[in-house]
Amino acid sequence: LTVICPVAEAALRAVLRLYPARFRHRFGPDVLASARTELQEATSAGLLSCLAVSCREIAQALGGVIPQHRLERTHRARHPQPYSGDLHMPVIEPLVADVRFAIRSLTQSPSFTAVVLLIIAISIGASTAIFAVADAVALRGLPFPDDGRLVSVLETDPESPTIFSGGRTTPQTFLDWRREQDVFTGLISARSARFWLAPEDGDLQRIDALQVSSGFFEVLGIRPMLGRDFDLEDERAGGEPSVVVTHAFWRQHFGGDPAALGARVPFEGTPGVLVGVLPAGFVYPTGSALVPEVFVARRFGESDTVRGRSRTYADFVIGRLRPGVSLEQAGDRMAAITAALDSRFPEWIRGRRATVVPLHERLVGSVQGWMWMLLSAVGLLLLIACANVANLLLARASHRGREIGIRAALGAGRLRIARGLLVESLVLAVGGTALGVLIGAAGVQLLAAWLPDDLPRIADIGIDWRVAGAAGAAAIVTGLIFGLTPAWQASRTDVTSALNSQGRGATATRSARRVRGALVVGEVALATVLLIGAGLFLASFVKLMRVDPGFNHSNVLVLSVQAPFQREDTYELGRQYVGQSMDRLRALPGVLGVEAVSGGTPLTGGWSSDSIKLPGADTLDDDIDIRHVTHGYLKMLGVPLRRGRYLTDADRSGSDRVVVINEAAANQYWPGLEAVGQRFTSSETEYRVVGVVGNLRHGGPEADVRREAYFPWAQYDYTFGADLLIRTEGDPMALLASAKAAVWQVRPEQRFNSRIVTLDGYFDQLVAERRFNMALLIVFGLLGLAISAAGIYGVIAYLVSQRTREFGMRMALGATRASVVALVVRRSLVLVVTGLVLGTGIALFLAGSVNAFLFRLDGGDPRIFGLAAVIMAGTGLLASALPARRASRVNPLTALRAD
Amino acid sequence: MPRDAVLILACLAEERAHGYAIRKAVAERTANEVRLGSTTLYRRLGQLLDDGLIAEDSHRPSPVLDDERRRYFRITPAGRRALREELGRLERVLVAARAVTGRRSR
Repeated sequence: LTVICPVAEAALRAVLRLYPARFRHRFGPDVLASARTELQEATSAGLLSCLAVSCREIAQALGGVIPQHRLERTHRARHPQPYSGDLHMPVIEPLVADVRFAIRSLTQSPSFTAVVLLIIAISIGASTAIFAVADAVALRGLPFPDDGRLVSVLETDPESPTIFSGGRTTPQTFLDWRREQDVFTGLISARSARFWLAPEDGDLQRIDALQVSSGFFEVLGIRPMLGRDFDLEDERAGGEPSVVVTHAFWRQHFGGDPAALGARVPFEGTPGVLVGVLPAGFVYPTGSALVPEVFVARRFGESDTVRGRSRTYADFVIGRLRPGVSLEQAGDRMAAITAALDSRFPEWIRGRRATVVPLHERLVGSVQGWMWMLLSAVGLLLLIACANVANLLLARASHRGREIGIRAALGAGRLRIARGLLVESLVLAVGGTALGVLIGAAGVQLLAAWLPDDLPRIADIGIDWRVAGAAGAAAIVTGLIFGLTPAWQASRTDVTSALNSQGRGATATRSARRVRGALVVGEVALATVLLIGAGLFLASFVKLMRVDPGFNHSNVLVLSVQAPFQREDTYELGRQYVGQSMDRLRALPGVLGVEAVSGGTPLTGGWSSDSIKLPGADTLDDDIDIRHVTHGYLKMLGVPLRRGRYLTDADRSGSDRVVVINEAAANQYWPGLEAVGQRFTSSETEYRVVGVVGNLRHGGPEADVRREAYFPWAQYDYTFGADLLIRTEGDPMALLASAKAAVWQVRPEQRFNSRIVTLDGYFDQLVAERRFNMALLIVFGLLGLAISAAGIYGVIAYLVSQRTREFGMRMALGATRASVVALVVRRSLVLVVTGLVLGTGIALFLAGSVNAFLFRLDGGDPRIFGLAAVIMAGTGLLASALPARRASRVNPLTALRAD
Repeated sequence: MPRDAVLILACLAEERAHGYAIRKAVAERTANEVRLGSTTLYRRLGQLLDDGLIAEDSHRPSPVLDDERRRYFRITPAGRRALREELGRLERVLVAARAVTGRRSR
């Protein structure tokens, strides 16, 4: 009990130090006396009341700090008084004074301040922008309550690692899983779909939608702001489907009217009924750039339960783990359920498996590693910048040795001096960061434009509070990192020598020089790592670009034309549309050729395959890609003919069934034999091979070559539509409008869904990620190089200025200019080479982890390492050339006379 | 006007007092509902002094009863005016509020 009172009083005294000086002087003793009396009284009432009073006193004192400061300000504004020095320095006021002093002293050396601010701003700007991207895309959690319990169930096939379904499953399997599972509070499925909105007044509008099963929002943990979630009733086919929309969609299309529930959602074709509105700001995260605005009830009809030949892998399955069920348990259970289904329906499933992964990992797992790589790279840049700023501050501190000496002589303690310098660093850091966030905001715009469009959650990228907070934290941390060394160095200043040395700077001690050298070595090392990284990514990208795609994809416009489904004459209509559209398009000026393909245009990801049977063999080889093409298709794309002939106009309906295959297929089926003239069976029809063409990388430069078969379009039965490839003379985009118009003349209802309309556009999308990495790493590498070159220059220039006298002496004693230059260059070489060795070591250590991002290139490629070393060393020499020249121009007489 | 300030003024309207006495009086009158901490008390006193609603009193009681470190405060005419206005305002608020709740409970 006797302890509490003094402790409480001491605490109160400490809190009082936070109060404005005027209040402390006026009432400080009264407050303490009053508190003492109160405490004494409470003590007699017992321990609890004593504690209560202490707490109340301290809490009230703390609560009053800020209001009292505010009060003080208004008081001072009303009664202006000259500031009288406060001898009892509390905490807040001298800090303000320190900041003021720092700003004043920084504005006195504007060029120094500008350089430092620039370095900080650039590096923080780059870091902020990258962090903004990484955070939005990969780091932050999903916008669902308790999102760690949300998982995704994938259907995978262990025998074929290239799963085109991406883990999606069929409606049949989903319904089975949902019925049999007992580890989730609910299992839901989402399938992306596109709808066209046909408002009564206004143009057709494409909207991204998801078709979702019952209980969708309940499992996610999102309660509709208005209306309801989907229920089992909504899953029944027939009638108008129920629709839940986002808040933004509701505002835009229903004017934010709560009475809109039950209204029609004007989809083209079958309209929907509005049953719910999601809360404002809720954005459903898909694994891609798609942002669904509309959620339509998924209907499960008869065809979704029959286990027939055709399967549609489109269902993305999500579940919420039941309390107490772990991820592994859920995984085991789903695997067991799927295995049981497997044995029940042997023809249907065939050895497929169920895997359970966290939803976050499934959505962004593929880009997480990539984002961490970029963050590490920009982190290196930030470190280089920190080392450089520390170096500049050290140089500045040594120039100010005399000033610091005077302050020390006037009685400023070591801590006081160090604090002043640290505050200066923090002021620089905060100022630089403020600029940096501006640069970062601009950078984010730039990055977002550069990024691959199909990146998950790309729409969320921006500077928000998380990003700004991270930048602020970076400012404090960097400020401390680059401020502590100079502050510590300066605090060791020896007063007498500082004042004696006639302003040359007493902190230019051996240890300070060593620290500056070490900082430069560090900069060079990190810059070397970045340079090697840049080189690797550049070389990898060049390799990628050198891959021969097997065809010419420049200046080709792609438009899809289809006949309406579910009509008896769909195929006949489709053939007509395609034929007439091709004729119209051919007539356009600037069009060199128009051909049609069905079964997947190269680079678009479209793909279909069929099984074929070779004569004599009774097994089916189910792995040949099939395309039906018009006869000029291969020639127009520049696919080289190896043997036999291309398809011709004569390969028409009723004539011989023929096919052209690629070399990969020819080598597989008839190794060493003449493929032309051979026959195979597909879908119970026999085809004769009439030609062999070169391999074509349909999946882009990184994809493997597959076996391909090209059948004549004219002999195709299922011609409901096709992709039209239009080879243009100039920029294909210039022809887009007139090409669309030409198709609309044939079929006015035709919709063009795709965002991308040229083969080059698809190609760009395929290489966007690598190009993005390369560009960023090159920018980082060059920035790192420039900053570290500035660092080398600074240190060597300083060395020269320090040793001018010595150089003068040497030259007076007969040393040649060359030997003086050699002296300076040797010093810089020592720094650069040490840094290089260190950096190469780090890069070798990291080589393994960067391999995943390189295309057919080893992370430890010696050519790249060598090149980076040469560039770094050359830059280092260049940076020290100027100071070396200055050293060699020293006039012995002036040098010796100086000082 | 803050609640604490009204209470302090009301105490001082009766008689001049030192800080500790004010605090006691406030606690007593509000049946211990309002317990002014030492800092709060002097923050309010400082504010009232700055606003000219109270003043420091140089008349001290007899030395037997006095502690020489204590400072005494008294209400100024401006303080009385301000207190009267504030109490009037509070009363009107109370009447208006009662009328509403009264109607509801009936």
